[in-house]
Amino acid sequence: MNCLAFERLLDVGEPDALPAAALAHARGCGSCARSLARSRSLERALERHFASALAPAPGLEPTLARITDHVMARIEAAEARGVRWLALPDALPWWVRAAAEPAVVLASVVAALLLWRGDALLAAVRAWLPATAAAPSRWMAWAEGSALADAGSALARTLLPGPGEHWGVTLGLLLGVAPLFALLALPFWRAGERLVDAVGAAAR
Amino acid sequence: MARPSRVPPGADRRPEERRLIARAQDGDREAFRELVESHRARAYALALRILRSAEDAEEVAQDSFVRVWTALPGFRGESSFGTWLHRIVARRSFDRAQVMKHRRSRERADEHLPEAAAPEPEDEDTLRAAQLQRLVAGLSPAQRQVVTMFYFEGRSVEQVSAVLAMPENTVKTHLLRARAALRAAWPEGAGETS
Repeated sequence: MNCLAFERLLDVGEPDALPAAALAHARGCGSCARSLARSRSLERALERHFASALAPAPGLEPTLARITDHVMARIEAAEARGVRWLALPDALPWWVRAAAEPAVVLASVVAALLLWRGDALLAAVRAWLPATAAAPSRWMAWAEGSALADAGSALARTLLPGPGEHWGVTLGLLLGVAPLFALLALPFWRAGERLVDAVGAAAR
Repeated sequence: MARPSRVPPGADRRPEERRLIARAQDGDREAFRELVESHRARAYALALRILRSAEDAEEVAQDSFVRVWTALPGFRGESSFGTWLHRIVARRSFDRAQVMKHRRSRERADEHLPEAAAPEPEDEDTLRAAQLQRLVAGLSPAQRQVVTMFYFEGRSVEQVSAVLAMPENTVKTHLLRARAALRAAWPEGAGETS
């Protein structure tokens, strides 16, 4: 063992667990003996500095209780408002995060447009209003004129009970059709779940 | 509709904790409170070791638990809950320490203040601790993180590697270089007196 190898051992390993050959070298070499003493002193200082000897100190319990209370309060407050991002810790203050929300940006743009050219926008809306109001009746006329209307009335005649039918027949038909609606709703529910998961994953 | 637990069996050694994690993943706040109560002391201690400020450590511990709550549905249990939490606490603490360091140096530059006020000499231990703190602060950020986590996590390179998401060999290299740098700067007298 030479001095270079000894230094290397001190860097890699623990000064209190050196092999016998290294200790024998240190006994015969003044420089390495000093290095070993310095290393042991440093190791002890590092342990004192960082080691997690967290004894249940009497003064610590209020701090720990406060951590739990504040964490739970933040979680509950954010969930009650239905906005998860408010619970997220962030380096940015909340008003900066709020200003960066797409909905807030959109609302600000709309408000700014109304303030800037509100009269022109209102005039445009007034001009479009008659055409917009007439749209549902146009759609209805188109639907009545198309084959959709015939198919719809055929289906209604088949499924819906006539005016003179017994209430039991109506109830039976409704109970028979209800599972169909549930089955149709399921794909929409799954699609909604996938959408929420994707948005959540992107946010994380 | 209750979701099945995404924590694979054996991912966390304590079954009770596994159950709590699964319940918390389903949105059970009481289960999460129990998790906070069982891990808060270690999380706070880790933040305190890194930041050396009780106030900042408390804030970082709180932020980390809130982050854990929001990220919990995505926790797959690849590492234990404790390791995952420590990773979050360590990252946030090191980030904050870095921000504070920059802020302090900027303030000093703005106000033309001296680098740091010299501490009043109290006893040898205090002086040595202050000296060590200065030496550790002089390490590179990666070396500082590795040294801190190594002594906090019971000298386990494997654990440090898991917490810092760093390969074990990289941890060993940082540790070796940090030790060499610290030992070179550690005063001769300190070695001889202990």
